[in-house]
Amino acid sequence: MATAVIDLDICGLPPVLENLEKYSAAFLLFRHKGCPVGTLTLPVTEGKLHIDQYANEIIAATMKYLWKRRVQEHLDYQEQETSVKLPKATIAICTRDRTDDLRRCLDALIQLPDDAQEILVIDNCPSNNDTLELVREYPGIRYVREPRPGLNIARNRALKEARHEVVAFTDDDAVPDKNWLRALLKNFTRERVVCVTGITMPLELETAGQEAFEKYNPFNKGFTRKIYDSLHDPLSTGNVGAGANMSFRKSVIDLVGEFDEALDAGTVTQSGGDHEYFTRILRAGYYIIYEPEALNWHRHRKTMEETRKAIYGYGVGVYAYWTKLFWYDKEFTVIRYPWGWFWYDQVRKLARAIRKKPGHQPLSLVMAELKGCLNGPGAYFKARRIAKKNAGL
Amino acid sequence: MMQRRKISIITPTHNRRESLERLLDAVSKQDFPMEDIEVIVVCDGCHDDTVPFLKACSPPFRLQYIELPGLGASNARNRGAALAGGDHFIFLDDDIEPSPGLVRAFVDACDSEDGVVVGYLPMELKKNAGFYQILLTRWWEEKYHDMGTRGYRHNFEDLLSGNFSLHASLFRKQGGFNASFRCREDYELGYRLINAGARFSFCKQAWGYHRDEVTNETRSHKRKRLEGYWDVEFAKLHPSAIPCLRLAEMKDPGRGKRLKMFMAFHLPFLTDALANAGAMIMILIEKLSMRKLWIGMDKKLHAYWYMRGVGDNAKTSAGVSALFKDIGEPPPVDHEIDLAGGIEKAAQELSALKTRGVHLRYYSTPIATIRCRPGDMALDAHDLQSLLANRYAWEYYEAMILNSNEKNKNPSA
Repeated sequence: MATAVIDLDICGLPPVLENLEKYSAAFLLFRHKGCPVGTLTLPVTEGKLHIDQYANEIIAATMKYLWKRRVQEHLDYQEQETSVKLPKATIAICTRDRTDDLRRCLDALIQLPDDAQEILVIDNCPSNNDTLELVREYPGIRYVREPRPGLNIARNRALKEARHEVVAFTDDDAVPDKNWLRALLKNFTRERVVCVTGITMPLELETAGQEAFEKYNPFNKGFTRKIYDSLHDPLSTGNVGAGANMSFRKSVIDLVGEFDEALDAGTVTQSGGDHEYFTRILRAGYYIIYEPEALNWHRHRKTMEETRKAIYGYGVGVYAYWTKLFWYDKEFTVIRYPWGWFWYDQVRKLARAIRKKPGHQPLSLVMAELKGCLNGPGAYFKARRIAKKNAGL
Repeated sequence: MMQRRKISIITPTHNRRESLERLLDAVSKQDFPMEDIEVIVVCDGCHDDTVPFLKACSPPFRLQYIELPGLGASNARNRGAALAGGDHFIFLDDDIEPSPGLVRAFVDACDSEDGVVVGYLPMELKKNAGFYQILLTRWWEEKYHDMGTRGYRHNFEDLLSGNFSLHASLFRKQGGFNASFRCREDYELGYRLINAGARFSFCKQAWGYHRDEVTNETRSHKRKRLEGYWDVEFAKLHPSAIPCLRLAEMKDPGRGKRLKMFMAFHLPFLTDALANAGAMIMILIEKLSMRKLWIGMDKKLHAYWYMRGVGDNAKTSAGVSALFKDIGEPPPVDHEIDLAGGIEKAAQELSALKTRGVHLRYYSTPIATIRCRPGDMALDAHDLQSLLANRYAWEYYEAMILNSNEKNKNPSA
């Protein structure tokens, strides 16, 4: 059965959650003054969840992130200057033939507080005019068609088309929280910070595919704000963030170059474009901030087959991006990572899946990931050849 | 009506005519009355065309220059200050390109006679910057960022002499820079200023580009060696500052460190050769992109050259330990503040005390003992909030929970 996703304020917890007949469990996100401070999955019995019975679990899940906030609140202390003027932003959504998702995304975007932000839809090599028709329903949202297929090509287009200083990317299948944009923007106070990422939670866990995806590959990178500076190993960007929730100074393109057209969705490498770009930013000496207050919700793939494909795609993308680092960027130490991932994570996942240990991941997903990894290096060289050919046309 | 202020910008220079031209050009674009600005350029051992250039120069502000035979920056700054007629000094290094609002920002920020304002020098990252450049610019960035954070307590090491400002009277009262110092003269003045009760602050608006085109790994090793040498002088002059100097690490060295010091002091030809070989290997390591190893070696090499510098001055291990003789014990902390009465009341108490150390407690639960290091500015009310919100947040939180019953009994708290 499905898992309900419920957003709760820690200061006003209801004793009982009701009307959950459809669900066998509930995924709870706790927030304090809008900021995520913890998640917890609890069982639902007969459509009800007695929150008051789980006080210990809730404290254990949130206290680590909550206590300091409580102290700072008590002292009326704010870590960051609040008086600083936020930069103006362009919100960019790269999409392709997914109007149902896009509508939900745009509906949420127009609800954001108005800070004179621009909303820009990049329609990437669409097969019809549906997206165009949809965007026409929203006055004030800009539509740009990018005929060349590829998510990274669309991202580059967005950075060039954007009219404002900061470009915030959200996926078409994601829904931003009200405070999402402001939380991202308040981190752009230092020149050296050229990228800010946020936290992504599952929008729904209605199907087995979505539950499996959330368990296998959660986008949640923790509830602590982190600064990744030039002392952080630039090759390790798995926890920095993800393309569904990231923002850049528009000038980043002049500083470190464009997104690699041979990577990510729409090419044979399928993903990896975001992490490769984070690496490039850190290698050049700039900073990335992970800001858990910048929350958005991602609709995971519905069917198990789609989830398997996505996990396969991540395997390809990660190895493709490592191949690039090794072969073209001469970052030879990158070979540590495939080894570490294989030995400390994948082998164990595989063994647990085969022996059907409790809490194991589905074997099909583990195998899909491994297969993806094997195909990654070849895919990168191929994608590069194709991208070169297309650029030459 | 605002009082009219006369500004003297003092710039020592050494064979960098082009940099100087850029600086003077930027001064002529300041949004400040040009008739109230004067620039004093001190050409210290210039053999290029700096002097002919200055002779031919006719800027919109008053320009003076003097020539010195290469006596070092501290001397040059003092001689420049002696010539200056303004009531407000701004010291700018020749490789700085001040932003148009720099003078105005300094004047606005330095509102009292005892104020010392440090300006901001953002460093641009070059494309394809090497590890050294990236780490160097990071150091500067973090230093300025820290100074700009709320509740930051300034210390003598914040006197970054490339871009700072103070009242002429304060500078003169302190006798300016210590002219015998060839390095560390900024920290030395900073130390005296702090001890004289000067109020340091950081002003981000007073910014200029630091167009440092020459610093590289080799120069920074040389620089470290000088720092070691002059830290010993610093220690001799101000024994109370020793705990804050890097050479404090050499107090009571372990066996390994003793051996290293012995080698560096008595067999320098050998250790220098090793260090130079290490520097060569680092080039290879950078080619292989082995960041962690590179950073580790970089730290070690800098520590080595610093130690060499200390050896240049103190000669022997005995000479180093002799420095620590006069430190004495830190003064005892004999003030106590109870936070249970509310944070504002505690902050007021703290400001009134004007102390350099205090015990904090919540009812009877001790939270922390806060002690200024030598060279830190005295404790201030706004320190309390950020200390409790960050460094001592957990202790404070625990104390509050432990005493929550107490608090309920006592509604006035």
